[in-house]
Amino acid sequence: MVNLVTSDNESFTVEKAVASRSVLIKNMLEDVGESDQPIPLPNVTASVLKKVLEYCDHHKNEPMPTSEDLAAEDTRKRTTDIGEWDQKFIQVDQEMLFEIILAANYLDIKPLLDVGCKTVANMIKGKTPEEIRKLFNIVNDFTPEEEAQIKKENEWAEDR
Amino acid sequence: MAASLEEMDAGTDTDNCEDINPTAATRAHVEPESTRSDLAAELQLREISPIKAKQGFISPINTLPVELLSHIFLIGALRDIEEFTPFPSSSIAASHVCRRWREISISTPSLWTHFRPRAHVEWTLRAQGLPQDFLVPPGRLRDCKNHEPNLRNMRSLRIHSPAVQYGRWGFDLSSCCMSLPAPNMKLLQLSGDDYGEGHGHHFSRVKFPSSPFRGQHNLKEVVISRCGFRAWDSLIFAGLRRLDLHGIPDSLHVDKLLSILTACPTLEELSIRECDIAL
Repeated sequence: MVNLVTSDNESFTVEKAVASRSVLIKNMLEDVGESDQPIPLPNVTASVLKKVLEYCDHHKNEPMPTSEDLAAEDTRKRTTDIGEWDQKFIQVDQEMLFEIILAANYLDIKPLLDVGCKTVANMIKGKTPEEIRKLFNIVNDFTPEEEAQIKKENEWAEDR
Repeated sequence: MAASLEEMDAGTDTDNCEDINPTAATRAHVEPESTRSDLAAELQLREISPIKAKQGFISPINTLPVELLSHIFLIGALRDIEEFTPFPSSSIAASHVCRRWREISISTPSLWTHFRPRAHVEWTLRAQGLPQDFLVPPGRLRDCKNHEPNLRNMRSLRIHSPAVQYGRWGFDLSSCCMSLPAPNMKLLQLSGDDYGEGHGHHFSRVKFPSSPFRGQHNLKEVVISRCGFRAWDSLIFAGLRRLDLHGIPDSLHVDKLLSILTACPTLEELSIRECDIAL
């Protein structure tokens, strides 16, 4: 078993197979060897780690993606191929979604990072810039000059 | 801001109030204070908002670092290419949201590899010379001739061929987009239409050159959907990792299929659907 300690000082004891879905933790365990020392995760809060571990537990028996898998995926990336369980898992509020993405990036869990990024990409799909701003509460901070340039670019698109 | 607060003070000055009822006096004192602090907070917020907006920290999505946002944008850009959108619409939308997104999207060349004949030059320049994903929509085959440098720098070619009456040839690829060397070329996708009408059945049909890309390509994936071509012995069917054939109107003989499989010893993915395989 592996003991993980979050930034808000909560401890999680999990199977090694679950924790090792994180390449960061896997490498730490390999470097340290057999040890009872807790592993501090200063960039992850308890609520986010709980969710991340739920994902890792569900996928613990799957083969880890190889570097060849990752290279092949770059040429054939499809946004519709989020598995059914993953889709339900990632139905969280926006704040949690982005925290999961940040945690997956920090912990180096590539499949979870992909699920999160594809979910955001799907949320953006087919939306106008104004709709995207509303969806994510983003302020339009363009200068009038930039707005003029953007208007011109929209005219190029309408010319097609 | 100071003037507004002074004006409000003047209008609610309790020193001139003759009512000595302590409750009323207190209320008179508390309410302006409360209003005053609300107004001050609102004004302060109005001042902070543009700063926060400029920093891009209001939205949780903008807590993501540049590399993750550009990764998300790239998913949209690749999907546009797969789905034959007429221009890089996801990348354009991202670049029109806010200053941070615009900076990220414009400075990420891989978001702009989407290319089609008569594409706007500014979008193409943003790819900074990266190998391009070349799309040929129906009716735009002739325009390819004007884009020789782009054709030589393709990493993928997707052609949507219009349907023609049975017995006629549709797109002739031997004199245009498959006629030049394309050493970065990895993926070829031909898509067509197939429908019956009063004057008979209509198919999409293309004609391959005898030596596609003059033999200089690195094709790993070929996807042909609802498009006839009668060139099963073409050199494009060699060394592939993925072959996907769907709804091909011409019969595929087993011996031809076997020779294709023999020429693709590293094939990882084979999909044949709605095809007539003849013995």
